[in-house]
Amino acid sequence: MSQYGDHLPEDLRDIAARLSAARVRPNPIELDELRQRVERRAARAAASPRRRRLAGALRMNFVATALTSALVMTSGAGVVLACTGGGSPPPQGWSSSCEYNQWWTKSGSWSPGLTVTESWSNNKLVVTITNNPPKPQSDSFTYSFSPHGPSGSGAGSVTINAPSGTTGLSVTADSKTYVFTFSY
Amino acid sequence: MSGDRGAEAFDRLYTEHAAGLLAFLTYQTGDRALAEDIVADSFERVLTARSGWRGHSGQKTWLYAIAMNRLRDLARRRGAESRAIERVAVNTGFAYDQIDAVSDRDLLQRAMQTLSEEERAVVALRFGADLTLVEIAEVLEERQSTVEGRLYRALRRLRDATS
Repeated sequence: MSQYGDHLPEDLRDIAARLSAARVRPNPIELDELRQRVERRAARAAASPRRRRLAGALRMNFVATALTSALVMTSGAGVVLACTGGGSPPPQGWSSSCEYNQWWTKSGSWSPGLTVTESWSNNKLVVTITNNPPKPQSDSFTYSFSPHGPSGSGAGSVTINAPSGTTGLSVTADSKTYVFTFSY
Repeated sequence: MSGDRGAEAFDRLYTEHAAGLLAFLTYQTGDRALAEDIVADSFERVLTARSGWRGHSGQKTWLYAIAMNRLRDLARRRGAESRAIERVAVNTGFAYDQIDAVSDRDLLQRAMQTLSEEERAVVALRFGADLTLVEIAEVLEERQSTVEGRLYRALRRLRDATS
């Protein structure tokens, strides 16, 4: 029981003391193991984009032309797009500078906190959806690729290998739906 | 988060709050393994926060808010799978069934599961994490008087259930 126990009504002090005494107290070894888990997970998360950049550096023999557009089905949310990986970042937008590069990674961010990153490499489109909104808004979302899926849900961040023939993606977060259209 | 300052801030946050967060989540879920998963997930979110977190005055309540969000997501996912809280309840029940002499901790933990989610959160934050009423109100984004009333109600229910 902490220093605030004195403010409790008399009849509740005993149960409060029992609750404080019975709480889980992990020992230093348990805490250290847990911390190592955290660091391993964070390292894996950080390694994922590095692997994609490495794959891009191999310059696979295809030319991807992409046009991505976003329709924000809510009022006033702006779209900021950026291109990295295949050449000089464009001053604005992404399609004009990205479309002739042999590999690319690009992302679109929506305030507040929803980001979709697409990486085209080795004839595969890998999509990472990250939702990190300010609290108390939930970071969960659902997604669906068109025309044939897959569909699913996630929280925080999810990476999906988009199937061949994917033409679009819709992401719903906080009851708002964002639609991407891909063309090759 | 990057650089020495970020690493130091993370070290401090983990050292000061990991045990409390785990105690809160164990009370809240009734499942130690699940609580550890959520602790790991919450601190991973801190490490990978894109905003270049360096530590700030509200870091404690921010951390607990992250954990609360993970709990809500988990509850939603489990609800969607139609097995939800049952799994926790089954796990908890199984554990208790194996124990002949039920300790006070077990008794309290079982009683905690009879509270509403909101009541359990207040009790777990107060007596698991040792947060103040002001901090709990901030984490839950509710008025302090609301939190206080809920805490007293929950404590009375726990007292009656375990006496």
